[in-house]
Amino acid sequence: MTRIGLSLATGVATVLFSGVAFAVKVGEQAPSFAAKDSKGKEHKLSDYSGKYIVLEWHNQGCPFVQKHYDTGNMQKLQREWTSKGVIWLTVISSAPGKQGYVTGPQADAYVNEKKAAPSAVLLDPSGTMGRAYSAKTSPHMIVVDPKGVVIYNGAIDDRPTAEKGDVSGARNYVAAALTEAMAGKAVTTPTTVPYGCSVKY
Amino acid sequence: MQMISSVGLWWVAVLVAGLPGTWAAGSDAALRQVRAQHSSVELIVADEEPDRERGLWIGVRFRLDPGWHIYWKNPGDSGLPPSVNWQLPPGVRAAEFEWPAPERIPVDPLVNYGYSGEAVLPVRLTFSCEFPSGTMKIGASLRWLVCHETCIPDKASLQILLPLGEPDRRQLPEWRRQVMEARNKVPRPLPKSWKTGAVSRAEVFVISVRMDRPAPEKALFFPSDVGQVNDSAPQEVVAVGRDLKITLRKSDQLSSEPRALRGVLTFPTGESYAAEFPLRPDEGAR
Repeated sequence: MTRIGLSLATGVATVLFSGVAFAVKVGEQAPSFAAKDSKGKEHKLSDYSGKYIVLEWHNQGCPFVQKHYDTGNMQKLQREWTSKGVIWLTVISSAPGKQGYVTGPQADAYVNEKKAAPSAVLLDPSGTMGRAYSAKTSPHMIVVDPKGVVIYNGAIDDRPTAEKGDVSGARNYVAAALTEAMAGKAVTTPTTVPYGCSVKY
Repeated sequence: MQMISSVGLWWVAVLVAGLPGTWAAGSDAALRQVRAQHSSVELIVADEEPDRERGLWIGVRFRLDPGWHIYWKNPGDSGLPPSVNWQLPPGVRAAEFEWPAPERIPVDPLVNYGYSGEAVLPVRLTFSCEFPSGTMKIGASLRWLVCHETCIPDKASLQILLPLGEPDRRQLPEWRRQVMEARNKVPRPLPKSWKTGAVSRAEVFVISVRMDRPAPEKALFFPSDVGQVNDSAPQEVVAVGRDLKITLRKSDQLSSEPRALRGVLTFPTGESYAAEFPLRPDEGAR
């Protein structure tokens, strides 16, 4: 009885769940993507084979994102890690009309105003890339290693608040993952729960 | 997005309260409540006199604009639960928020757990020594995140004075009703005669409960812990006789297999139960 019930339940679930969401699991290959940046240039995952990639889901109207940009925290991370050869891709998956949606020139104006330093800002108004990576929040951070394997998936740090005062003293998971991976060590905290506003698909 | 700080609004509220006749309830009302963006928050009390056994029940009441929501203790895919720091007289302690069973709030393609409309979070105050004499001031520094398609983090410092002033005392029966109603929505412990279990498969957890009556066709599971269950995946419910089974897709953020899934089961009848589902290895996989 029990066994029949269980297998029935899982059988239905398998059908239901396939295609609902792509899993982005640490230790597995990152999903391929192709997205245009704010200047119209296309970026693919395979373009950066051999390099570390940071994906940062962004929405300039989200208070949790503002926490990291108004304090200069995100820009500092971008400068530090791109100077070490990391490809930093800020991804905007807001749909047209939703909070955080920007055109290419608007994205560039924001980068200028905030003195941000990503390698590129990818525009994903259809949400294709966001859904492929199951991006949930802004900010949601994913780190991919030179072999294309996901080595970090989760929050930017361990202070899930919109309080600017919480930036200093926070443990930054992205910096920790990159530091450890570049030193040939296993990432101590490879997975956390991302916090912030929901991505505005 | 235009952000008005609630601290600013708070001072507006205090100033307005100073004008005669603006607040029917007088200045006490201005201290205990705040109208913020898309939400109003108010401290209410269920009892005026502390009881040695029961303590004193109070509540934080949120009134949310249509379409806006706040979060349960596990907010789901995004969001943050409300939090509080209490300022209490010596010898008075506040327990944690009691969390009424939440709603599943879809924010396509994500799912949050939270409350819309009106929500009261009950809190029990206990007294370790003599009841304070004279006026007792209960202060709360609250932070909450209110979201629709956009999110607004807000904060306010509220306080309520006991004994209540005359205008507030008239509201006591209604407040008591609201706190009681919220406490009734807090999940009960699962009846001891019901047996729970769970198995872990590659992509899913299957939780099960054998009830003392026919299992309902519909049920929802709300995980207490973040990062275990994929919040936005549909939950597959199978009822066979007294057995209820719910298949839950695992979270991408699941870093290690838990020993048990903890959470709340809700039924269409409005019943809700807090339960733990100990995990055993999948027998079929051996």
